This record gives sequence, structure tokens and C-alpha cells, in this order.
Amino acid sequence: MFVLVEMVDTVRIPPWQFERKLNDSIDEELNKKLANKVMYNVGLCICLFDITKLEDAYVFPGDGASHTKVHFRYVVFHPFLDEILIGKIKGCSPEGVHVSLGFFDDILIPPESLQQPAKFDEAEQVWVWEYETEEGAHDLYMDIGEEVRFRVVDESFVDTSPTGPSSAEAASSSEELPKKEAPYTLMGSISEPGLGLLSWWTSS
Amino acid sequence: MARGARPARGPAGVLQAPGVHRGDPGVHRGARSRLWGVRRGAGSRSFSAWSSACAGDPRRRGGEDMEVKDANAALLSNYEVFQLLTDLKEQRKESGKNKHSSGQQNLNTITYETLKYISKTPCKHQSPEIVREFLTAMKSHKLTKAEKLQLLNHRPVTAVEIQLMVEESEERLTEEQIEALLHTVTSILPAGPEAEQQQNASDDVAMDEEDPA
Repeated sequence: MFVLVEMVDTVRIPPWQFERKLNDSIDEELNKKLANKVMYNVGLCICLFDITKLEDAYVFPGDGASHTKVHFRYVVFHPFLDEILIGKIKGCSPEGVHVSLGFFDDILIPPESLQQPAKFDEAEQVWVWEYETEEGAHDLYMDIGEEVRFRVVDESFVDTSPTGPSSAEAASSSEELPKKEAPYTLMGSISEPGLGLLSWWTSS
Repeated sequence: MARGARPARGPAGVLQAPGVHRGDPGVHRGARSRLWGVRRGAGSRSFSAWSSACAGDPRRRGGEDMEVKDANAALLSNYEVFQLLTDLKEQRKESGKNKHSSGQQNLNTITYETLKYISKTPCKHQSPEIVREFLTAMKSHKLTKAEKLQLLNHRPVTAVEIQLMVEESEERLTEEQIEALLHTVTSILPAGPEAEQQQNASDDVAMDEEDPA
């Protein structure tokens, strides 16, 4: 679920923090910059793991702050393909089932990856697995708050950095940006035995 | 200045701020603020040159962009992340004062949520010795690193879960091997918080210290 990513960055320490230990200031600055943010093609950054190397600090003309090049490792949430994860159902919509891990929310299980046959109950806005046994069909509801085990089948990164002024004409034709895209989404699947609500598979 | 080791310095050296120049920033040692004081007359020129150098061509911005050296340096188990975040929380609690500044809010949120998530998994009760013992015991089963990591993080108790985590388990493992694997996993890894009630039924001697009354 979590990986270690090695990165290099220049950290700026303002002069009023010079009395603090450099390592502490750098830890704080890096966490301030990266924690809880999604890096394009890398994943959701959690927290700093350690600093591997500190290069010399420079002071530039016109700016009293020191700039230090830091080599460090960061803990990033980036599940690998086909990894099994357990999350909570946040809600259902015609697009599929939305699952959340608490710290990461943008997980979608599209309708074709649900246990088949599945149908969307419009009245209750919930997806249902029509489980057939010899006795007849059981309707297994995927209610909000239930824990599900799912497999990660796809991930997509969207670059949400602001566009420059050149695209201002395109943007002004529509009132606002149409919708806020999540920078990092995961697609899940629960179409295998063992996947889906934990309560479906616990032996009683 | 005819020192060949410092290519950035030359007749026009004053216009190129050190560190901004691509090349070896290590050539300059420490802050050279005293040199700027010497070149009084050129002071204003160097400032504007520096700011234009920064705002201009990104190629000239040397070490100023963040760079990812290795996006997959190592896989971390949930237990390791749990340990790291718990230690971080302790440290921040001790140093007290600046936790609530707006800059730290993101770190607070993500550590709280991630800790909350991992605390509900069996990883909470693991320790470095348990993990080491688990990995030694796993050597005989010939599983890939990713499979062992999933077993460590999830602690499966049924054969169907093993089949999910181990690729092509029908071909690679016989039924007895799956049973043996399950037995190794459940005996070495401590049970999670909710699984304690389910453990009562099985005859495994519980590794957990709490007494699930």
C-alpha cells in the first residue's frame, strides 16, 4: 500500500528560523509542502521518512533566506496493481460504488466490476448483488459504511496544476471549470470470490 | 579570477548568482554574502539578473525544481508506516507549540486518518521480531515480495483470501500447502482488534495479550 520515494528538492528556510536546528526546519518545510498532497505519477504523500543527504546551504542576493538542496525519502500511498485493499463504502451512484480508506477517498468500483449479476436500486440509491442459490435469489445490499475488500485494477493521475494565461479564452467561454477532477483515482474490482463486503465471506 | 574549478565565475560572473546556475553547486562553499558586498556598484544589476534568471528559462534553474529520483525505492508494510506515524505523533506532542499552525494542518490530517485506518487492521499488534519471524517462515513457501507483503498486511484466515492474494494459487499451491500457509500466518501474526472474537472459536493458542472476554 505504501512505498518509499526518493526525492531531491531545494528547501527555503526564512531567516527568523535560523535559530532552530536545520534538520528540524527542513523536516517541517518538507512536510508542509508535501503531506496530504498528491504528486503527479507518484501518489498521495503521507509523511517524511528520513533525510539522506543535505547539501550546502546558499544565501542569494535579494533574499535573506537560506536555500538547501535536500535528498530525502517520503512515504507515499501508491498501491500496486492487483493489490487487495479493505475500505469502507462511502456511497453508491449509477457510476458505481465509491469506496474510501479514510485518508484516501477517490476509489471507484465501476458497475461492470461488481459481483454479477448486480443492479442499482434507484429508490435506495444502492447497488445490489443478486446472489442466486438453490433457495432463490438473495439480494445483497452494498450499504454505506460497510467494509469491502477489493482489488486495485487501475489508477489514473490527472495533472491539476493551474493552466497558464494562454488558455484563458477557452476557460472564459465556459463559466467555470466544469468539475473538480480528483488528481489521483483508483479503480477497483470486486468480481472475484472473496471480494466484496466482508460480511459476505466470513464463515459463520 | 583565473581559477578553472569555478566555471561560473568569469568576467560576467557577478551576473550569474551561484546555485542558480546549472552545474555543480558544490563548487561554492557556504554563503558568499561577503563577495556581494565587494561589488557595490554591480549590486542592483546582480539583483535584477538573479530575478530574471529565476523567472526565466527553467533549464537555468538548476537545483530548484523538485525531482523524483526513484518513485519505487522500497515497499513499506503497514506496520512500518504505523510505527513511523506513531513516533512522529509522539515527537510532535513533546515539542508542543507549533502543531496548530496552518502549514501543519495537512500533516495533522493525514497522520490522524492514516493512523486511524491502520489501527483497525491486524498490523497494529505487530513488532519487528514478529515480522522477521514471519518472513523467515515464509521462505519455504516461495512467494513473491508483493504476496508476502499482502499476507503480512491482511493476515488472511481463510483459503479463499489466500487465493486472492497469491497469484495462480491453484497451480502453485496444493490444498495442504494452503493449509500450512494459513497455519503459519495465523500462528505467527497476532490477530486484529475485531478478529479477536472470531479467534475464540479456533484452537490456535492466541498470540494476543488482551483477554477477549
